[in-house]
Amino acid sequence: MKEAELIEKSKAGDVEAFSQLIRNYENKIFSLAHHVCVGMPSDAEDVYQETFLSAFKNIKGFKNRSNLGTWLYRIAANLCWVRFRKKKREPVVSFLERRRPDEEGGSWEFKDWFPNPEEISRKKELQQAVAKALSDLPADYRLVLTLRDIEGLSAEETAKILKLSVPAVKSRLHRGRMFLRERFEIEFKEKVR
Amino acid sequence: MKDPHCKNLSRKMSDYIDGSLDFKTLSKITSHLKECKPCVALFKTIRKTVGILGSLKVNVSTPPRAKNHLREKLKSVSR
Repeated sequence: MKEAELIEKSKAGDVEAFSQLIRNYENKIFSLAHHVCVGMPSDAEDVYQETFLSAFKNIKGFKNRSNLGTWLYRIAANLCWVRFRKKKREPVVSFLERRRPDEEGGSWEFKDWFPNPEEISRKKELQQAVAKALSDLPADYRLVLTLRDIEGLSAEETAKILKLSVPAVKSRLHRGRMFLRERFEIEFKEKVR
Repeated sequence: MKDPHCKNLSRKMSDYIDGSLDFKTLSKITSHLKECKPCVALFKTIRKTVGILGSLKVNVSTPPRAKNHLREKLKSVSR
């Protein structure tokens, strides 16, 4: 059955059609929730569940000319954001107050570091270090990095999902990457050549 | 020694890596990287950071328990 047909049936309340419809999107939404709610697996599962329950409840309002993936990502991103805002776990102040090397007064000393991405995907302790660095970013930044660099969406798609301008997405992406780059430099110090 | 252009160019480094710069800026950064060691290190480590993030996509799939739980919940809300 084609997606448009499944959407129509879902709008009529057909759970089986909706279950088929979401098959192509489940891993994408779970992956987003998993990375944004890094270190909190039960929150990731909650976001995944709530996204699809909310989508089923509101699918009548879904406009057929829109992209279903974008619509689902938007619901999930909003749920992640609300969750973090409620928990007030955000390290916003410390993140924003830090002086980056490319800002006035920052030091301009960079060294190449190791390991490479391939080594990280093979070693669990390195993956944990990456997850920890990611969890120290504010959710706003983590959402942008997850959609752009992990899920591989374009800046335009990311902007649409997060209701931001493309320059705002690019700016958060760069700041987020700079923050992680610096954290990885510290983390992988002993491997610096 | 830090080049006065380093900071301005470094802000465009993500766009440079993503291939979303106009030709003029792209050429400017490319020639700068030929002569500035710290900027080359910055470029390489941002690119690695992007690569590390990209590698996280692998092996994330929805746990079957969560899928089953969702199906059950969907059935109960539709009743």
